[in-house]
Amino acid sequence: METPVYFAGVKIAASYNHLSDRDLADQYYTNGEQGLLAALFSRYRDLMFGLCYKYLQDTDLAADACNDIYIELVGKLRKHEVEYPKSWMYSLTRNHCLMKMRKDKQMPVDNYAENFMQSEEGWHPNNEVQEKEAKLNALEDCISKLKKDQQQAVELFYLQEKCYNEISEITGLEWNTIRSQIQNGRRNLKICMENHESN
Amino acid sequence: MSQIKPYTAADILRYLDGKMNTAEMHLVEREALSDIWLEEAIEGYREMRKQQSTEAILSRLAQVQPVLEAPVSATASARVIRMGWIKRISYAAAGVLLLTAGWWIFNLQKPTDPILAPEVAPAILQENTLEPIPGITDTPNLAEAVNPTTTESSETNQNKMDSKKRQAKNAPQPVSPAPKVDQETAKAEIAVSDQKDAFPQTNDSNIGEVRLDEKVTASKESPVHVKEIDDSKALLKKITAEKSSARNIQTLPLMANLSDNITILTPTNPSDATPAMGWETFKSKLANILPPNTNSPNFQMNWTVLPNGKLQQIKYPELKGDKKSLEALQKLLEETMPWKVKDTTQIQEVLIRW
Repeated sequence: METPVYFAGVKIAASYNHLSDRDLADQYYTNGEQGLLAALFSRYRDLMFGLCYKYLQDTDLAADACNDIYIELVGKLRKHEVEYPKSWMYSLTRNHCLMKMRKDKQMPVDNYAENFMQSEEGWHPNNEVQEKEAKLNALEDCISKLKKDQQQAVELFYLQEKCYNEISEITGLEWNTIRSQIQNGRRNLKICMENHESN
Repeated sequence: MSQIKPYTAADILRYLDGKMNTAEMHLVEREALSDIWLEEAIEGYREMRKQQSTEAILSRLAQVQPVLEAPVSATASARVIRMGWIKRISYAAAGVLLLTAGWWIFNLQKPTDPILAPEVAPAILQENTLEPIPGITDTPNLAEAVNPTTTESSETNQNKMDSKKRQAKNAPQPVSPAPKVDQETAKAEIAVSDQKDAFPQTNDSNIGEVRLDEKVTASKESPVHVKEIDDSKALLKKITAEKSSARNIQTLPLMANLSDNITILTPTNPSDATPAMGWETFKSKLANILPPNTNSPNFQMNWTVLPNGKLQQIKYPELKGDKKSLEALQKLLEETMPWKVKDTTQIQEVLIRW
């Protein structure tokens, strides 16, 4: 379903699909080849569109924002060496939309600021086996310390790998409530785990 | 480095529409918990989904695609190009403005006649003074005025002036407005004008001048004018007596008698400062240029003669607004240089009244 992205009427080179985000950004930073940027952009265009819609609440505005962000990328990625293009582009998109809203005086209520901080964890996984083992033990301990509803949601989601709909059927709770319990459970687990590490 | 393929709008919409199996859904949700961007995008599509159907959203995304296809690249490059053109046009406009301003300033400061004394400063004029005559110097101090370099350049200028004189000779003489003088002068003028027709002329450029050495057939003239013509001829001969021996053909202005109305107030002794062409010729030529004085107070003009023979601080307020006369006077004053100054250590004032 992925729609091809063209640059100056030329399809993005197929070889670019095998390059990582970092490689695309680095090569674009080095040689300014627009196809590289288009390849990188096309990977996140749909997420960008969804994100922009969340803030701007209008498909036309969201589409315009995507175009504007691409234009920003053209210059900015030539100026800055970006280590994590995905998180960098997310921040760029979010800031662009917030700026746009500020300009139009529609400041949003940011419900996901803390989630954004938590998400860094996912982009920097630690694969050390011993540490993992220790963490698993600590995790079990921390889960047992969670509130009952949070503990249930976390166990169903992470340990039994149920989706929100299934959890909803099991618990009788709404989708948003389940997500909220899982998020809160995650945050409390993180705090608990950090305490374990410091001890 | 392997690259995890990000979720697309279609994937997210499939998830939202419940078209994924539970395992896939769990995977999306788990991914979303650690990927804030995906989570927020899902949130966005969920909002979108409330307003529009999946087909409509995908269709809208497809409509966005052309904007993202051509424009994504084309927009970027087009903007760059547009910016480039804007910049180029701005620079070009600025350049043209600068050149125009520069040319204008240069022309303001530059003498209109580059042949004469281009190295000297413009004349310092008083409030009631008209524009400085190009080529007339305004040397601020005497020492500079008698500077050898200046003298040298004035020699060069003399050569240039000679050439200019030659050109001026071949060119038509400035036509002065018909002066309103007393009845006697007017008669003489008529007579001399008639005389012009009577005398054969070498070419058109000699209009206003008579060749005195050629014989005039008096019978061609009306008897009334014959005596007046003779009187005029006598007067002209008297005026040009000094120079008549040098050349067989002597040219003089027709209205030479008008020069009688011109009085040199200073220098009291005209030989203290003499124009290159001599006072009489200068006065004669000046008479042809000056407008008639119909007002009771006399008109006057004055200037300073520098020791190097150049003029400065020329004032001729009565000619203000009379472009033709101004130009002619300017030309004439150029021809008067260099003036012969008796005392080269002093600046000589010249005051003329008519």
